[in-house]
Amino acid sequence: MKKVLVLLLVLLIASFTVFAAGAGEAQTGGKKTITIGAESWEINKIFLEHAAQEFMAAHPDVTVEIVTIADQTKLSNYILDWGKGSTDVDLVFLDGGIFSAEYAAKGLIYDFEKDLHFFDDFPKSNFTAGSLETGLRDGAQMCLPAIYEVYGISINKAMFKEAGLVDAEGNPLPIKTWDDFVEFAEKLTKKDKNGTITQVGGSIQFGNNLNTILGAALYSQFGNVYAADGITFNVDNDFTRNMIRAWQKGIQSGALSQSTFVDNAGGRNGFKAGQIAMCYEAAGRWMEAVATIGTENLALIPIPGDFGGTICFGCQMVIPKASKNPELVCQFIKEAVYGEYSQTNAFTTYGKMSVIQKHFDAALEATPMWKGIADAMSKAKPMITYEESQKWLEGLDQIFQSGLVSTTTTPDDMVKQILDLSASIRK
Amino acid sequence: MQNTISFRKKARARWGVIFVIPTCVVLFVFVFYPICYTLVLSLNEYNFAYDMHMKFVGLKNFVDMFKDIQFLTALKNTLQFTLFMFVILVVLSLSLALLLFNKKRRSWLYRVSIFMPIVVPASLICILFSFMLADNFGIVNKFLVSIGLSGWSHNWLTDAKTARVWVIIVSVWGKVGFCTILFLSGLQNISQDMFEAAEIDGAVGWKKLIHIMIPNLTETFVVVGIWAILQCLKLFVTPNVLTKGGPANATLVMYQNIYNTAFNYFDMGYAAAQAFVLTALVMIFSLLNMKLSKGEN
Amino acid sequence: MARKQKLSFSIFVSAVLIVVSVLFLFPIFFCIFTSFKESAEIIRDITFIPHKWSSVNYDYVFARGAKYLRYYLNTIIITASSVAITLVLSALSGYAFARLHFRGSKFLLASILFLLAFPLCAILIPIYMMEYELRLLNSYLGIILPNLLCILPFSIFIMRGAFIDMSDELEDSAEIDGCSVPQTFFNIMLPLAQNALIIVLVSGFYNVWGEYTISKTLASKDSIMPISVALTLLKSEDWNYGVLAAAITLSIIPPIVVFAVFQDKLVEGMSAGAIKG
Repeated sequence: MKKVLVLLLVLLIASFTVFAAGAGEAQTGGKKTITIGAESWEINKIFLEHAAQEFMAAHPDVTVEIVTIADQTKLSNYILDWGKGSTDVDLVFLDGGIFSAEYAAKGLIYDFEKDLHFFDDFPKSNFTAGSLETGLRDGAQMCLPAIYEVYGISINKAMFKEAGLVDAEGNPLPIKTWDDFVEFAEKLTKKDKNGTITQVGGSIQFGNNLNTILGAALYSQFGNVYAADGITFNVDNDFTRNMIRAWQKGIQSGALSQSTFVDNAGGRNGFKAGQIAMCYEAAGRWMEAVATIGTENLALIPIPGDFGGTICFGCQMVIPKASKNPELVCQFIKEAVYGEYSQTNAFTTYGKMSVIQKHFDAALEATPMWKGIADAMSKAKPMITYEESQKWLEGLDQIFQSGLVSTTTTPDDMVKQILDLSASIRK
Repeated sequence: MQNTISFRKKARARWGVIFVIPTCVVLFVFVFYPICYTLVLSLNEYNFAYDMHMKFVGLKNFVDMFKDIQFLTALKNTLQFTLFMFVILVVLSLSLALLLFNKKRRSWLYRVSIFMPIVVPASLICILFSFMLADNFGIVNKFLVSIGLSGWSHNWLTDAKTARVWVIIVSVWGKVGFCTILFLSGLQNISQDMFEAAEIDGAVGWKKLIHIMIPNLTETFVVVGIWAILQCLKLFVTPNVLTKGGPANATLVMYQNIYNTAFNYFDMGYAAAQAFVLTALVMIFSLLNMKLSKGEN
Repeated sequence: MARKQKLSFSIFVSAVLIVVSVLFLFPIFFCIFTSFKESAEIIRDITFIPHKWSSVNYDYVFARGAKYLRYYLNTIIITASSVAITLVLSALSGYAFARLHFRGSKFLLASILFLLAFPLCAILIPIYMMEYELRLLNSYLGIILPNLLCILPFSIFIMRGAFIDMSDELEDSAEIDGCSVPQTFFNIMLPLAQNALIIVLVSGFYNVWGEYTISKTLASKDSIMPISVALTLLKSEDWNYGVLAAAITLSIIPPIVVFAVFQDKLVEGMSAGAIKG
């Protein structure tokens, strides 16, 4: 025991003396350095390492460093850090942009248009429809999208064929209303002789993306998510009540999966596993299923509704005011992040759509599956991020998770609950 | 003689102070500022993402709490979980410790398998558990179907009742090993003489052993009790990863509610106030446990 | 008759233990096996033992793992330091609380219980702010101190419990022989508490090794980041279960090695304690 103690003490002392210097910053004499913070999936799927290499090759006097952000709660540290005027990152990638509201509220980030004059030599016409708007905060360009995504319904065509839900040419029959969706789901659901469900008709992401799920459904019907005041969800109408009634019916009969209640990835994994026939989530889900189901068995269809649009959301970039080299970072965005390699490969490999129109068009030619929702994509629009968005999201979660399984809660009750929730939060 | 005793007492007291000083320096100097800051926060309204300054509101946070359905749900769930988990943890680990203690030979393998779960990082293994329990492609349902019990397959985590049960099972799985170690070491501390004496008296079965063992485990019960209370009341990782508090808050616990309030809603004052309530709960239960364990003796 | 009863009882005990062991090990083996499966097998075929052993998940980890040696080293430094400090401090103060009664010891013990009870997540942001001011962020000391906060209070209770259970006679006779308090402590009492020290060591090791929340908040640089945080960087938008399983498997190898090494000591120390006590 004594030996162990002594050994540990020696290790302790050694660690302090040897590595005390390790915490110090390495100085890069003369060279300019920009540091980019992003989550690991963003580094992979937007090919940031490659972008950094490209940029450094073109500008030998610049070093680009990439730091991985462990998870989203890490971003709240930046509020404190930047508030004190210091930063260890010059450019941050935000997953969904909820945090940008907080940064903007405290005036911690640059306005790309007014402060940095980003569009002077990079006109807005370069961007695809709706994508640039995903970075607006109260009308100001506080964020720039790196890539964006839209919502759609990925379907398993083989299951549609089996259930007879195809036309003469083998194309899946169109889904025009939510009643259709649930009716299809019921036909696509299979049970064994004990009544255990072996194949689920559909999955809707009732987890923490309900904001967008609901928003996209409203937008696809009315061409606008919000009511006359421009900020409250337009749910007080028969369309919403019918939709909720249909969802309730689907959930209670087992035709719609409940797995997204607790596991946000439950729907996409079930779809990938070939157990779920329709998956209403971000439209890129079909790409993940190519390996297990095969491209020929997959299709992408638009969200039911009279207007036929979809919601888009971007992975956003912000530059803290504490950064010393905002111009250089802007140059990095224009040349590297918006460069051909990152933009086209993110689209063709991972379904993360390019925000730059010319790369978007090129990539769309390469992956025809997307044409299934091309019309909806041309009408894509982002949603408003509420200030207390997290409370809103969790409130919606609860309303739907308890309401959809309940036989006593009417769609009317749920609409009322949504409106009450909406009134109680800071927008 | 009286003098030497009091002199010894004084010397011992002096050494006692010297012995605890380094610990106090490390612990209290480091947390003094954070705890004071949190105390101040708990009396203020401060959303650190939007507000520039704190707003003093007195005890409003503490009063609001008991009108907040979310908090009350979390409180109720926490107490429920604590009740079940505490009993299961203590009973199971004590029985395992007794079994292992009784079985001296070849116990190596059993020890390893019971202690192994404490090695596994809880936050990661829970993701894997949620995968194993998934309704469509989880191995638990697949197993039930393959042995012909397809009627038993179930949406384990999306049904509020079974979700609660699984949160408890997974938590116990990860924690019972350490409790068993504590009990085992307590058992090993009981002197051999006592067992021999008992055996001479003709005690072979469990009953006599338990009569000797339980009374001698008082301090172990205090330590295990505190640890188990902490694990139960401060339960966080399992529900957070397994069910995220869902479905519809059925598995929301206090610690998680505090975490959400602080890191998702940025409502620092309210989070701080809730933290103090949780602390008070833990302390009350721990002191109760100490009193009860001592009383048994 | 008695022997027969004893035998059947022994079989019963073994049976219970075997069932429990299998239940406890199942998730771990499932994890290890899953790390050797390809995605299609994990999610579509749902097998237990892989039909086709594949290293694709480990390839994914190691392709991104050039810095992993550094992360392991960081974890080892943080864990070893925290555990060493905890062993020393908890033995000293545990002894003081158990046997050296001084004025205010009850109150101090209660304050330590308070620290034990306080939810760490509520003071994480103040700690961050304080470390920011003190320039402790992204330093080993900055992570070790809050880790001590997690493991030291409970270790004190373990050590206190161990010392309280000991008989007064040993101590008295030592002091009559002229030993000072520190001499008694180091030469006579501490060796008897070996058992508890091992428990403190093992529990401290596991707690710090797998600690995530603190390190995630206070360490953002590669030069300081421990393996528990680094492994979560492998997460894509969602976990690929194969990669996740590989990450878990990699992170449990060192603790298992420690356990295997200390297994002897653990049992030996415990039985030694039993004989001497």
